[in-house]
Amino acid sequence: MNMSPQPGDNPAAPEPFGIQARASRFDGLDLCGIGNADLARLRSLENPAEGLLAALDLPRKTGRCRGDDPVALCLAPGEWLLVGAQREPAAGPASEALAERLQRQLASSLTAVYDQSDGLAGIRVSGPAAPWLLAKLSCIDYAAAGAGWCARTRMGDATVTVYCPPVNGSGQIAPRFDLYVDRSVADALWALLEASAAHAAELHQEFGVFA
Amino acid sequence: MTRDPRNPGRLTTGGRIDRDTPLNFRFNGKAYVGYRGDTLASALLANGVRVVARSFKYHRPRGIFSAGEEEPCALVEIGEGASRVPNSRATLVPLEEGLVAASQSGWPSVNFDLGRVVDFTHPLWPAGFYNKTFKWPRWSAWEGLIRRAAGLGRTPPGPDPDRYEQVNAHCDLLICGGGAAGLTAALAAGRAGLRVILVEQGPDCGGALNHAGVLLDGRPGLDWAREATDRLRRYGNVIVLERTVVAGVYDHNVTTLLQTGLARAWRECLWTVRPRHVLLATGSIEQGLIFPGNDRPGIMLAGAVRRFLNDQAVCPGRHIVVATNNDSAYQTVFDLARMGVPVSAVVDWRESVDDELRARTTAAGAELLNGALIADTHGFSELRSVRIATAAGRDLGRRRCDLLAVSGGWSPRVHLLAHARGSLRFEASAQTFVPDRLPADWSVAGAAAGTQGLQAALDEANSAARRICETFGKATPDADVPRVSQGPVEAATSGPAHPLAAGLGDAAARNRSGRQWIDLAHDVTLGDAELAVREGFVSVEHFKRYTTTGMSVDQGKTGNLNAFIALGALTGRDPGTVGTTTFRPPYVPVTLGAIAGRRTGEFYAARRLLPAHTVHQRLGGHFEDYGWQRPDCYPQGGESATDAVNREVLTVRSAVGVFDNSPIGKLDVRGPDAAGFLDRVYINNVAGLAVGRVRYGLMLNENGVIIDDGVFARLAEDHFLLNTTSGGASRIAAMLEEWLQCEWPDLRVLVDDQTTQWANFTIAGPRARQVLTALGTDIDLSPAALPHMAATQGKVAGLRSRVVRVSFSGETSFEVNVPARHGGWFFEAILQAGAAHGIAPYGVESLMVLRAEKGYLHIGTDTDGSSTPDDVGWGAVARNKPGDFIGKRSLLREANLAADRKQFVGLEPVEPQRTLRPGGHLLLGPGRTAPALTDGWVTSACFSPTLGRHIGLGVLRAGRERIGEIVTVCDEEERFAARVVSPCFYDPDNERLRD
Repeated sequence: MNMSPQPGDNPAAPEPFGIQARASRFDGLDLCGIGNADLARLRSLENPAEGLLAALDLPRKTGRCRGDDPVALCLAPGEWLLVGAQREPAAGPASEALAERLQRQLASSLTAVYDQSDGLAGIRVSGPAAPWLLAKLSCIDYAAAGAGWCARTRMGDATVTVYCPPVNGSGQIAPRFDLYVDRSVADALWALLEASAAHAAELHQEFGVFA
Repeated sequence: MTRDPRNPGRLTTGGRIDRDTPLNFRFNGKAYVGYRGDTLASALLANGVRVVARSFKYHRPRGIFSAGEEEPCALVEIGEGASRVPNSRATLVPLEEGLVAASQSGWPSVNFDLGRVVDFTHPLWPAGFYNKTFKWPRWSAWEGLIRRAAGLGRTPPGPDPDRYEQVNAHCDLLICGGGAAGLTAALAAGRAGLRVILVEQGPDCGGALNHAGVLLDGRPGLDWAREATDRLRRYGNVIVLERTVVAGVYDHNVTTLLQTGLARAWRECLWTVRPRHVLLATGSIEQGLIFPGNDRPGIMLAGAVRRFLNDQAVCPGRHIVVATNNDSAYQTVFDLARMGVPVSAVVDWRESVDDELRARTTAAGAELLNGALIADTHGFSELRSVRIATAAGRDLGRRRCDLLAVSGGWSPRVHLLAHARGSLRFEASAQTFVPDRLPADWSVAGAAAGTQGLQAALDEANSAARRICETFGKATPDADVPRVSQGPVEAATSGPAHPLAAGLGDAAARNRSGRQWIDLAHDVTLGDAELAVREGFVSVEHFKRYTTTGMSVDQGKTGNLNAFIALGALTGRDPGTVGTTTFRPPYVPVTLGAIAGRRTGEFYAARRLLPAHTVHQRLGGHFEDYGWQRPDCYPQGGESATDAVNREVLTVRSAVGVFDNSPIGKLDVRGPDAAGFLDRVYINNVAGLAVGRVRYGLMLNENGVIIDDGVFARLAEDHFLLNTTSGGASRIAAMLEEWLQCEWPDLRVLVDDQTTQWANFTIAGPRARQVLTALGTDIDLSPAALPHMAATQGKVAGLRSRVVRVSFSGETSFEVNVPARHGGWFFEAILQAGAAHGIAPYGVESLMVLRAEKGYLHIGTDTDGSSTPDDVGWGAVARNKPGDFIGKRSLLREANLAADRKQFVGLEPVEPQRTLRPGGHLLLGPGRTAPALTDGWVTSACFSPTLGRHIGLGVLRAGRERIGEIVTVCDEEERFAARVVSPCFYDPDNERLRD
């Protein structure tokens, strides 16, 4: 079979589209795109403490996270978002994605792993004003969110998974949040975050962390 | 007393204004000067402006009655052009440099209003007049005139250019009210470590403490309030929001706060707070008195007079009389005296007052008239004099008076409690309604609880805060409640406080020539109340709606209590028996801008972008919002959109085209019971579908109405891929999840929405296979290996791909799904590989023409909320399916089985030059003219470049039996004949799909 062309060869790759290379800075706030995150959604009708799933040591409480690479975010009973390490773009389709690896490991008629590396885009919001920025867009108490916390919420018209990763493994409350959003609305969410940043900075300046 | 030469109504000393910062503003086109710290109301009073509005109904001149959000009269327009905000209360508008304000009622001007003819003919316009008149020729003929006459402002002429912000917040304790009680509670809770939000509607916390003469622990109350506020701000766990009003309380104590952004980049910020506990410390609202002519400009609440005096050094009168039924108004007398402003008389309906009050009043130079009432007032546009009489009606003479300060007692500010469904009871000793049953996680303290006395309020607030802290398991440090060394005169009364309740209404009513207002905002008089009772509207809810009392923008803050007491007096009932209506959110009007926040313009709805968005841009795609930003065509070389669509359609028919179909819904359904589950979801047979094959299916709701369509592919025995409509992906995914979780939890099925994970490109046309081959693939693309309605997986252009042979164009077609991040690259690769075959991208509009030529159904365009499978030609499939499916039972309803239902048909104009348009109605037979019962309508129509004529699709009563008939198309002013034909105009035998 003729297998040409390959990504990155001919034709020339189009101008990168997406938010992965973006960055913005505001007073007390940093926004940046998370490039090439290896993401998978795990759904299962099985008991996560038993069988093949037990090896993953999945968090069982909704809103909690566990693990390192990948970190598992429990979004609902029987549903997890698995966030792997960022991979090189060139690896592209040739490398075995997180989803494929896990699907192979967890093969079961009652468990499915779906690759979300292309379906979701990541945005990192960090800085002391980050909780205020996110509080402008959804009704979660971000000031009380600690490391290892996650939630699925709405921001504007987008469904967003918010994850508060630990800082240097210390487990302390970190003013850093990773947002994973449907790729098609990532550009719109980015614009909304940028438009909301000035007021968030003002709120932080006036009221502090309020935790 | 000396007065400011710039501001004749302002004293040269006192107040909390910044006299070094004069501010220029305009009102009704005239320039004035105020100071930083003024409100628009205080600045107008300082400049001697008395008439600021015309009343709602009678167009009587109205001035400023209060000093806060309870203001019923002084509604004005703020700003100009698109920034104009109508119905702003002058008492709440902080003065800013360059502020422009205007009266919103009165023609030709607020000072000379021809509309006052309504006042002079007032017997013609009693309560409910509009329910009894204006019936001929119809209400709508009068409505516009009446609404304009009411003068409730104008909507801005353009989009609001101002910025509005929103934010969510959580806290342990939300304290509504930053007065003495609120501050005390915040200090206790803040020290204990609770997360506290303290809300104060004024420019700074303190409330009554800010007035001169109040001493706490020997220090001015103002200083204590400042220090307390500063301490709270330093705590870190306390947010103090000033210039913020609690607008509404909703389920689970979700509370909205409206913050005014004075000197900020935004105009208003709407906070949505989710507190674990709410403490109501909102104080109380002073009520007016009912007497003839009690609405003239110059009649103000005594507390408002005091507030303007203490806060802005404004004294809006020179000949002052105070009328009261309680002690609190005496503080106004003393404060005026302290500032060197004499009060000529205090008219107190009570037979006697405390000796100390009497002595202090006399010392202040005021004549005290006990057992007396205001019998009448005089003045055309503003107050000139008052007539005083005894309660028994004996005339005590007329007094020159340009400022009448009135106090009818104080009513706890319980509106927010009512929002949260707390209940009230009538407290006879205070002649007002006070909180009774509190909602869960609510407390109330201070005057809002009906508590009398500043010290009692402070102690009560501290105790409440400590109790709240204990519920949170927080240790409460020792109380630090200040002691009141010197407080204001309180509103304590010695008996029934209201003239009407005391049976004095008759005396007041003896002067029948003078109307007595109970609701200034809606121009409701005591006469209206009497009429309502005569007509049998004695229930408080009926009374309210008949008279409209309490239904204006002030929601009866100064009118309801008097109205309920009046209703009680007129019907011989205790006010507690009369009861109250229910205050509902919002407590104050909330601008639409604040509710919208940033969700305007580009943020009104999220722009969904295709994975290959930049490629579409490069190709010159003409974008439209279809829920996603999608090109409807790709005009080239200056061609029109119509020409572009025609070219693209012909290219697909004759060569090959590529369509970005990425938004199409892609639901992954798998599990041991997946086939059985989908058999319940589709009207089609799913379980019998072979692996690797594809089937078109319809989904219904429980009513048997089509809600979505699309193909489903069986990827494995227990694994399906569902293509939903582009706009239906998330909706259908949620629906499937709901059925699984709520109705069939026993089914072992997993559903996942994979729509954005995959980019999808449709390569369609006679040369589609050659293009796909040129891209490079390990998939056998031969018709035998991959026939129409088959699916497979493999590599295309080196990318992991799913290829589905399905067509929405009527041509040989391959839908290729690749990981979305490669969508742009893959699109370019298709164009490059197809260049030798004459490929062209085609847009949504071109696709719509292609599918119309083929007669393919478009859900939502050719169907509506009543369409069933049989209506669109799929009745046999549904009827013959042996098992159950969603909506099956509803299909057996008589109406769904009727032979004359509207059915999906094709339409052709008899005269080829005629153009069908969607929406045109189909009338029975040729030559029919409207009005006539419609037999159906055109749902889709276009010019077919393939056929060279206009074609249409539509629904027609019993349409399938009427193929060949001529119907009349009724399209606005056009009438022309059309022939009913089969919906499939192109390749009816599907020859082109078999390739």
